[in-house]
Amino acid sequence: MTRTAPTRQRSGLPAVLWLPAAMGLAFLVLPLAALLVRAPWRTLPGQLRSPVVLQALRLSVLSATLATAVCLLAGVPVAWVLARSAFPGLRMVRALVTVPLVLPPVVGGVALLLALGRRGVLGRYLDAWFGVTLPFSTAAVVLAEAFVAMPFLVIAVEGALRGMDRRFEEAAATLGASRWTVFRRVTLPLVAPGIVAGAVLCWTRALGEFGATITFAGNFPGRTQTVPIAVYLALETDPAGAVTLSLVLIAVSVVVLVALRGRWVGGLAA
Amino acid sequence: MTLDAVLRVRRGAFEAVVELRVAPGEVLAVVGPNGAGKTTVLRALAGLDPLAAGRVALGDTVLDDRAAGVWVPPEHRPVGYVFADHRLFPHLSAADNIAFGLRARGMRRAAARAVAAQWLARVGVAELAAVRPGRLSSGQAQRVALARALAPRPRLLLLDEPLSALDAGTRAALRTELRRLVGEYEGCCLAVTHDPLDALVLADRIAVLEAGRIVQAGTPAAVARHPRDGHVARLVGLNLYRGTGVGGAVVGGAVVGGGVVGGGVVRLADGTELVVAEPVHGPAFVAFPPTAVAVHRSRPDGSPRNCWPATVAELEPHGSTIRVRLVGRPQAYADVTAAAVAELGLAPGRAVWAAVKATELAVYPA
Repeated sequence: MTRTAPTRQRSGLPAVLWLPAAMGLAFLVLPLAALLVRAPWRTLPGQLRSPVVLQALRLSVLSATLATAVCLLAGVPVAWVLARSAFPGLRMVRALVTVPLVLPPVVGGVALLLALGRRGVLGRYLDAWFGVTLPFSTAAVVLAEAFVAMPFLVIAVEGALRGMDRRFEEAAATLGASRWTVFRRVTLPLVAPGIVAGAVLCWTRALGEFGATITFAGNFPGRTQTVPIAVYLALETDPAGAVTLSLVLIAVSVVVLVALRGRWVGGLAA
Repeated sequence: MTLDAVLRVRRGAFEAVVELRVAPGEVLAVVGPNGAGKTTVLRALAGLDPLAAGRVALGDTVLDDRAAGVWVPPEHRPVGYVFADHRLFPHLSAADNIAFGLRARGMRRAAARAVAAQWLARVGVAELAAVRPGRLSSGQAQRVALARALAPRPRLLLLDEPLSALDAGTRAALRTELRRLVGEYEGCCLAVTHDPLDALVLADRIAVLEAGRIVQAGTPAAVARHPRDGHVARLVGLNLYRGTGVGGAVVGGAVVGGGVVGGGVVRLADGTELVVAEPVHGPAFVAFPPTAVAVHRSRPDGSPRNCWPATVAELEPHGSTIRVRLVGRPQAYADVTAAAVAELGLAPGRAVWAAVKATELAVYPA
């Protein structure tokens, strides 16, 4: 009797939950399945080699990677400040950092235009002093993606910093390491898994970015037309092409996630 | 380069008020129960926790002076800290852990590597240079941690329970090793421990810390002779001898305690021989608590144990027991009850027999 008790407890889910759970799963899986079912498998290899697809894919991967780099350079320090400092208004700053998470991306794009557009708050000086116009350039794609994706990185890295064992930093200080050395040689290596996880989330979010990008950077093939934008436009004129591009996007995301999971999460568990 | 420290440190509601002085080459052991504030004192000396008041100076260098507004941050103090939980950097190899402090203080990579290799050899783990801390045993990790703290040549070495995380066997071996390293060390050394044996083996002087106050200080012998109270007596109550194991001689059909047949003999410098339960070879420490010493008026029967004539030199009451200092070969402290003192008529000058079972003797390789 005592032996069966734990098993009974484990399988003691109320039956009422099974049905909605199954429906929820179906809801998540079905659309992806439909994509696979309707994919033009026979013409796929040819379509993949079309210049439009290749161009959009190259631009997407490039801009998502650059956006991730921007997020790493700016986001890790932000995470460090959020995790380690104490000043009045810190909670406010943390709330602000997460705004892009809840903001509709289109609104983000509009906000970027108002800030960095040719007549924007900052953009007008960029134009007047340096002759730099950001909107509708590849740089705008990178900025739009970074704006939307940065919170993913900041939250992941902040969590890693908070969870980190600070005793190692103390030990480093007693060995004569300056704060900067401690950060570089102890803190960063110890939170590296968190940074990688954050960067992966950040990259995949940037890769799929649509709303802010099309608003701030527009749709110029080869310059600002990323895969998600190409998918949206192809849906009107070339549904098969849209499906192909969607499959490419899914494949890239899955490959990256699986590769990094195996490399980092597996490595940590060992 | 004497350490001169007057500390007042707060940790929540707890406050430690401590005055310490350690000469170069000297080892001071701060002994006390858990929660007495031992680690608090070390952290304050290293600059990891702020002083509430006081002053810390190493020779002419003032590290901390609340009144004068001087505070040297931990990374600029010439202090080496061996943590109880070793705190080796998990992402660096043993060699890189040792090189860390040298690199942080500006030494070039190749030179730091070379010094690290020397230290690995000195602490006896040369073959583990490339191994990460996760794969080191606790004893190996503590050796590397010791080398890491010593490599930058600190003027003050702080040891926080350096042996407490180890199992008994490793502990005995490392205690000897630590004694050697600390003996070679030229700076001031402060070790905190709750283990009287560690303190007696390592230290030139002992300070007993209780509830944030030093209640007694002096040479190990002096503190053991006149423990301030029962608690200190228990804390430092240990008869400790250094001698040489002369092998696993079967001692006259020795059946001691739980039927141990055979045993070993440790010969002390004055020729006195102590019978121990297990065969020993080479230099060794023998230790037993004063509570293990039985005092008799005449030679007790059933002789396969350590039994020798002695003279009562002193009686020091503390708590419910009385510590008796016995002069003889060897000298020893015995804790007896007040009733026993009356019954045996113990008084200074009185001739008695002291007896200790072989199984009560702890033996450590030295």
